[in-house]
Amino acid sequence: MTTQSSFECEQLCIDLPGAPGVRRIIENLDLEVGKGEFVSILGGSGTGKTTLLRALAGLTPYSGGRAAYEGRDVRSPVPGMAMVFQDYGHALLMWRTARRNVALGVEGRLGGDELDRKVQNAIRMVGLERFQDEYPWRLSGGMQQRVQIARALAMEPNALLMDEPFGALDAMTKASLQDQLLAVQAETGATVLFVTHDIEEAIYLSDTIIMLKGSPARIARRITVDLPRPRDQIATKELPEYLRLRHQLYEAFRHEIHA
Amino acid sequence: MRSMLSRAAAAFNAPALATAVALLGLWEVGVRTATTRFEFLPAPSEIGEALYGAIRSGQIIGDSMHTVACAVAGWIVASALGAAIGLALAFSPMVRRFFGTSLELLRPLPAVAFVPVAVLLFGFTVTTEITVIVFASVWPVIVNTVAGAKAIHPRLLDTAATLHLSRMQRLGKIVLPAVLPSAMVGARVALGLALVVAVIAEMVGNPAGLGWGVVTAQEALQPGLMFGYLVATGALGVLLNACLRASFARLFPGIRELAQS
Repeated sequence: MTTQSSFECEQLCIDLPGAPGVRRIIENLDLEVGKGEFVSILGGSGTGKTTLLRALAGLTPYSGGRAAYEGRDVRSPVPGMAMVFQDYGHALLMWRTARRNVALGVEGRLGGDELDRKVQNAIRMVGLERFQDEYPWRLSGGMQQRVQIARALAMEPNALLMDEPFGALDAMTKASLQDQLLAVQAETGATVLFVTHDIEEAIYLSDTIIMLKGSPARIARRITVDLPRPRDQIATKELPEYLRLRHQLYEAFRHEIHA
Repeated sequence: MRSMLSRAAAAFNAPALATAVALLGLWEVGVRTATTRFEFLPAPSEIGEALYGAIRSGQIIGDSMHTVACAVAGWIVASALGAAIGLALAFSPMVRRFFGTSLELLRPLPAVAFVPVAVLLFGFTVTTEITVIVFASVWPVIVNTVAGAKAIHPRLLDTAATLHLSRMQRLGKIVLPAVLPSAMVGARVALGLALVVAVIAEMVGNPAGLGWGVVTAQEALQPGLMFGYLVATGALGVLLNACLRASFARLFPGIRELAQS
């Protein structure tokens, strides 16, 4: 295999309809994401991070340029990709148990032992074993988000698109899910596109951080995170390089944070 | 079974029971001391006696069976029909365009006004009774199904898309289960209506069942029996609703709205 890219955007433009008329959200965006890379898309709220991710997932049409996944144009959801939404409360099927939620994407084409094996493997990867027969609405937020991540993992995706998946969780749950995600990525080798507005989360998780800024949004900066893996919530966050990146990014966002 | 018993125990409301007993006592005393002056107002004890007699003779049991059978049959047809019409209205702009107005015009028509029409069409028969029941109880199912379909969160459809579900899979695995809780709310309202309309239809359309029983008891100047029929009708309403709740909760254990109600 070559070190071919996973995602590619060339001069990508996205317009969305709004009350005052059509608004340009993303303008002339160029992006390349390597296979197996962990890339965070970082930006303030309303910059168009989610819109960009949805366009790459094939959920939102783009109006100009090109968005491609593994060399093919993305116009609708592409096999090999799986998405995790921020609002797990709306994305999960409340009438199905955790296990049957996880099975949703694969039960149509697999059956019997094969299905069980894939579902159980996904459940194991996110540590959901004890709660698999419970309904989502009886689970905590962190557990519900684990269900959604396991549902994506059961698809055995080459690329995982995550839209602020930990944005609604408390700090401790967030840290534990971050570590679980890093372990999953190390195990599966999947490309991860991770939308967040949390600077420290982006540094802790990523190989590369894409900073979106402006309206319409463009890439303001592309930062390579050169921190050793596996990462550790305490040790990694005490490294001089981590602190340097943290300083640099807070500096870059300073006016937005104060705004 | 245990949980049902404990729930029944928890639902047992002593003050409410005391109020009911006190009211019945007041009624009894009122009639016996002739404070009330209605010629045909029986005391609760007299109603109880008449009801007991009608149960022992099997008369009120047979009438109840007839009414329940008609109400449930009509309700099943209304639920299936209402859900189908509701889904078609919610998801097909074409159906909405062609049938929306006609349905809006039919909806406010009181079902009772429909009884003479049904009698002319079908005679004094069970068909008349069930037709009127269906006509009355289909509306809450339609309205709630449409509301449920409109309330499906877009994220569920995003989920279906990113998991590459086909149209049929999306309908069967996401849309229908998501609509189900509100359709069932409609079905519950419909069941209550079905019983009410069954009794009305029996009074003026199909001479059978509890409704006809009330009328004949009245004409025979048997107020105790007449009230006995009312008590039986009320008890059936409560019983049907309880059966429905229990079977919904058992059939669909994952539905939060049912588990928490």
